[in-house]
Amino acid sequence: MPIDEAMREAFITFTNESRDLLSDLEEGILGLEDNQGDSDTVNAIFRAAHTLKGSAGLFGLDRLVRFTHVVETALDGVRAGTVDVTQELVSALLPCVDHLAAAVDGLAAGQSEADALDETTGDALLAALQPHLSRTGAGDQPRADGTGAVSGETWERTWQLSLCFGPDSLRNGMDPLAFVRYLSTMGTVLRVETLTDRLPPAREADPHTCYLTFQVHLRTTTSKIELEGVFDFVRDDSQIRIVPADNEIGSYVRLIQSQPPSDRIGNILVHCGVLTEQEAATAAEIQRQRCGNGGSAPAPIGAILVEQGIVPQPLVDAALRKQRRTSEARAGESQTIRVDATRLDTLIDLVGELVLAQASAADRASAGEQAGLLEAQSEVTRLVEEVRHRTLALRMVPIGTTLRRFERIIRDACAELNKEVDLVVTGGDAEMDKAMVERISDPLLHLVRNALDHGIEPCPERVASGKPARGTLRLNAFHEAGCIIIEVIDDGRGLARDRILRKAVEQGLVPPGTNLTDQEIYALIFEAGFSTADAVSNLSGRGVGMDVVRRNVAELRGTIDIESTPGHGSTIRIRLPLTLAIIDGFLVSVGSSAYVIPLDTVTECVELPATARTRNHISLRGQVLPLIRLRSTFGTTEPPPRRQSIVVVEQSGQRAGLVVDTLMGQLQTVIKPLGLLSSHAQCISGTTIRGNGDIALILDVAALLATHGSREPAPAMAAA
Amino acid sequence: MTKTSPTHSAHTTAAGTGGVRRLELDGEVTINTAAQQYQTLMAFVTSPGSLEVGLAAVSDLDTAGLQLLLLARQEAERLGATLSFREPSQAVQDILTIAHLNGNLDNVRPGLEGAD
Repeated sequence: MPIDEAMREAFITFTNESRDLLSDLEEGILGLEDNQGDSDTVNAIFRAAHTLKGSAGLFGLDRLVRFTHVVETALDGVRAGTVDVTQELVSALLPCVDHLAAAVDGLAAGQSEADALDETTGDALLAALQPHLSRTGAGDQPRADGTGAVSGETWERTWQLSLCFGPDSLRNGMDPLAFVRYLSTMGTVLRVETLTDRLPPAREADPHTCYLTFQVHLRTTTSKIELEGVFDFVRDDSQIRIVPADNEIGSYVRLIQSQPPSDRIGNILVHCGVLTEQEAATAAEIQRQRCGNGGSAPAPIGAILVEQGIVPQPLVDAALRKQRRTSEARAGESQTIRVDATRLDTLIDLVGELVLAQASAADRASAGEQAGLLEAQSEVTRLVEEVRHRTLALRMVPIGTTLRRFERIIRDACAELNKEVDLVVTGGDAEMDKAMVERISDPLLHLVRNALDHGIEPCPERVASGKPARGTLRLNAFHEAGCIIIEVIDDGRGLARDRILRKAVEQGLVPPGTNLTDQEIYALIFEAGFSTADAVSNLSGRGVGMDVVRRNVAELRGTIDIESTPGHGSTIRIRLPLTLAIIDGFLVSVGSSAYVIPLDTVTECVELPATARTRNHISLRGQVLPLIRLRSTFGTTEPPPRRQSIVVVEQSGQRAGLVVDTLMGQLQTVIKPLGLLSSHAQCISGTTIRGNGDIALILDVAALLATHGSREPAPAMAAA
Repeated sequence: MTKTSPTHSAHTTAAGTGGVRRLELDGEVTINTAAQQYQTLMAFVTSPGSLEVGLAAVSDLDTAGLQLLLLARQEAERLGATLSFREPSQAVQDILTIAHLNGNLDNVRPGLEGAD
């Protein structure tokens, strides 16, 4: 066990990074099923296992190393094409990843390696993996090392040799045909062409000068380097080109794609065995010469290789693509950096203070009316806004990563429930605060399990109702009006309205004979202890889930709605505010108090018409707009001004006009949480400090709308 | 009918019947004898008509020699003559095999017999 401080810190880094690697590993292995043999994925997961093994070794975690080694070997086999990717393989690999994840968690919690990594379980998992590690046959897939052969196994290829012997070859005592004869001892000569295009008119020919070129197609296991070596003595005088035969270009392109990343095409091509070091040096020399001559930018090596006939164009193209992908990947990698979350929070707090201080300064500047100062202040405002925006963005992560994690759960659940469900994730790019992502993850998980358990029917039932045998579970996320919406959509049997109502009556949640809308009935499933599942399954049905989900969502200041069509499916929609810390608001006054209305809920402002002074609603462009008089809401006693204004707000599809005394314009401010004493105040979600030092209360628009809605004469559902 | 008397170690003879002129090459047709054999062939391919080069007595053939034969054929074509090679010796056969050439010194495509 690590003892001193430095080791402890390093160990924490190790466990954190291992978790990341394991997460990548799991995602990659799942991806293997859908995307067989995509070389980037395969390479990535192999590297993940390899890195994990190496890091574990650094800390002397031998059991971890041994276990990971077997997994790494399996993945190496996938990478080399000797292990087939099957569903069984994936099913054998995933538990191994789980085992490692549990071990890392154990180690992070302070357990010893022996406790964290149970050998019996581990051995069983590895045994399950073994059958998949046997070779499926070498096949014709090329494998790479410097000589184009791997660990003693040779691979037969067809080369096209273009032997353009120099004029003095014969004089120097060489016999070109002897070379061709020699080649036939190295493999099978498939074809020879004698090219006479260099022959001069016969009368002018010199019988001692060589004008002939031979093109040979040779099938051999010999490497290119060895073939090149055959012509060592004629190379100076002749042009010898050895390239893969045309029909093998495809294999080589695939080989290049499967290479580990490299940012030099020379290395890529040499590693595949289509380019020898000597040829690379020749090309480099040509490049150097040309560069020296013209003084212009050096011709690309790839172009030179093609031009000189050393490497065929398609292979140079493949190598260039590989090179480009490597640089892109590397650029992506190096741009991330691990940051301690508390440091980030401190920074965000500071930025919050900065916003307030800046607002205060802006206030005083505008009061003073010095043009220069106003201008400078406006610039500061702009910069502070930018800093605020970017700082908050630091904590934003795309929700897709979390959503895609459900793929594993769905896969396992389908196996257990004997159902077939496809997961579709859309809008994974939508970003939300990292802390919120973590807190919404469990509620979403429960909703997903619910959909699998109760929503989606087993195949026979689906087919009988004319649906496709495979169900679809869609996770969708998108931004709207300063919120993020997450939807869990299934095409199952939908909510059973009548059964829910019946159960609710049975459990005493609703007095019998009550008239409820569909929406209200669906909302019943969020009540504690409610469950219509006749069979309690392993996953859900214990009735402890949905109310917890609603509470978690409420704690994040969000809302949750259900839509359902019997027989067709259900949609559960969670709406969460995007930012927890800083808010853009619209400042209004009611009496002597100031209130902030979240700007993303404000659609417009209008004057309160004189005729509407006592009415509950007005007509806004032909539509009814209910009015909420904040004076009444907050019990303001001061006399109202002559003209009042209406701020039209909208949220969750509900619209209302808030009647206020004066409009004071937009502001950007930090939400200070309500103290314990006032945290029960309805319709207030927080406070803030204005530029002039006064406190303004931030309105909870959703709560306002809901409360107002409950005042309307409605069927007897008690207000929340 | 024309006869050429040998002036060196490589022997050639000329013979022909019924309008076809024939040259018999013999001995080495290699880099060693290239200069002389070249002269012989060029002296032979001088006018249009049917020409034959007999190879039965060729003891050795290398690239230089093959090149000479190809030059001779090229010259014949230029003059509008037809030139064919006859009775290749074993040595010549071996070379033809290595070079994938047929009896007419044309490239043999794999799987095909005869000229392209």
